[in-house]
Amino acid sequence: MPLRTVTNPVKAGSRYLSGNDAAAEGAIAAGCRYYGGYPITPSSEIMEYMSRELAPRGGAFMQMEDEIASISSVVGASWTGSKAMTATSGPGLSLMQECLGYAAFTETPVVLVDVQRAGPCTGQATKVGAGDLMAVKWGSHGDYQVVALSPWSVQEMFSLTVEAFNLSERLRVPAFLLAEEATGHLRERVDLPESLEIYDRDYQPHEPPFGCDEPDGIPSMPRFGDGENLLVTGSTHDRWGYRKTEGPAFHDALVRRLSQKVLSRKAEICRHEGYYLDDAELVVVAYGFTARAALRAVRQARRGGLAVGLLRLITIWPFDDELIRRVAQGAKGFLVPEMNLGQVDGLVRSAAGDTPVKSLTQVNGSTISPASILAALGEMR
Amino acid sequence: MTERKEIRLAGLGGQGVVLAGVLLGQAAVDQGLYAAGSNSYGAQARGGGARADLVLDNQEIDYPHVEQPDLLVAMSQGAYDAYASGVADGGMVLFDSGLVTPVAPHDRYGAKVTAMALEEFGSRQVANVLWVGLVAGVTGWFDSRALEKTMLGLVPERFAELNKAALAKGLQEGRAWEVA
Repeated sequence: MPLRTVTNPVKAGSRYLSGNDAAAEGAIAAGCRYYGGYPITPSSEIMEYMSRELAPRGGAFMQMEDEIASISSVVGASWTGSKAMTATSGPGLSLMQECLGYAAFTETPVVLVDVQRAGPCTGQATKVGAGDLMAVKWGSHGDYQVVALSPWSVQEMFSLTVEAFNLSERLRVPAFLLAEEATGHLRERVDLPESLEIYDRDYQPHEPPFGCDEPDGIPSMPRFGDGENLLVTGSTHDRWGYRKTEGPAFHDALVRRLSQKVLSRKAEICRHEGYYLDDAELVVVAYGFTARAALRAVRQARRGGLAVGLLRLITIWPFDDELIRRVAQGAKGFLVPEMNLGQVDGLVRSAAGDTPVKSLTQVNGSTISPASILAALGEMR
Repeated sequence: MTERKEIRLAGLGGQGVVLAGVLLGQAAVDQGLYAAGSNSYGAQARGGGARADLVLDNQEIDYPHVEQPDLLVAMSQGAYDAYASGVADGGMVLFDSGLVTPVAPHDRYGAKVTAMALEEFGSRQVANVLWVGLVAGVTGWFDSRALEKTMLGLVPERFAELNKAALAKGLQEGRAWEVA
């Protein structure tokens, strides 16, 4: 199995780390050996860390001229066999969209950390937001899938970065750590493990790198230098990489497989946590930093006698609509607090059936407080 | 320390507010506690407002931001004016009495910390370590030996003795305060 247990190469034990440093350490621990990036607030500390730490570990760091070049270099590095990443924020993400589609269509494992700030556009560079959820999934044209994980703590800035690498390598898809400024700049206790499981790319010699017989299969991935006759193209291609830009059947089968290889594995990819859900009448559906405020609000509401619970989404993409359907059966209402104008609210609504959904939105560049969530819960009684 | 505590350190950029917050947070973790720290973050320059918030608990922290500080350290008049009224019931406000004119009811725990740093240590720069000592001394939430060890891991070696002395002085002053 390409999944193996390794000794954690960064310092284990209880430490006091910033979220951005923890994400960088998670990348190192996952085996990342290439970083190409362009600095942008509030993600720049990740790049600073990688600029110091990669070369001594035998890796390579490149400061590129912009974000388009950054992700392009990451895709190229990945095809040399390196685990590769970049980190950015909203404006940089917008620039990366073309090559994000290229990565998805060429089945290139890449990890992108998006430390979200208040958008749209350059917005408020130093202020928090969570407005990129749809952009990471729908920002590039055509139908494609990505994986996006939403950390709520510095601990998860580490562990979900490792997870993003593992999923990216296993599924051969772009994987996002969809962080927020508030978590990137939070300093917090982490308890880092002595060892961890990492996934190394699956390569079977002489197998086609871009196709297989299963309609949801994940092909073996060679690298340049392995001696394979390797063609990588963003145009429609057959299983050996030859361009097939006129065959409707080729295109249909390829686009469907690239979606199905992710969607058919939702049960393995999608993770969540539930708090006080057993007897909850009202359920807060939250993710990222906002879920921290939601947990405090739920505990306060419980002390006040309200039967409320928290459903915390860890995986945002693919979206676990089956989970929402399941929880909706026992709930009288959902509350979805978000630092955007309701991006997950729409997804929850489409899965909630007859269960009413209330959206609590805040886009003023600050985090949603427990008091706001508590007040919204009070109004729903 | 048995339950969640919230500390807010506030002053001006250049006073070492952020480093003091990191030191207290790191010390808490070194002592086996949970800690979560957030700093004011923006385009502030030296002389602008600076803030370091810290949440401590003996179990995992749910919401990591300060809501109502149990302890405020006001190192400037602006910080005092902005945050003194937001302190929790029964919470404490410590202020630099050389720089802040306090008003009741938050007028009890003043010390001329910046002046003390200059007069006793010949350096304005150690004021933040004096404050760390004062906070630890007055609250009893930190182990003083462990705090010193943590601090020595964070400050440049050539300033180790100076900072050790400042920390000890702060601890001594803080312990002398009678806390209701």
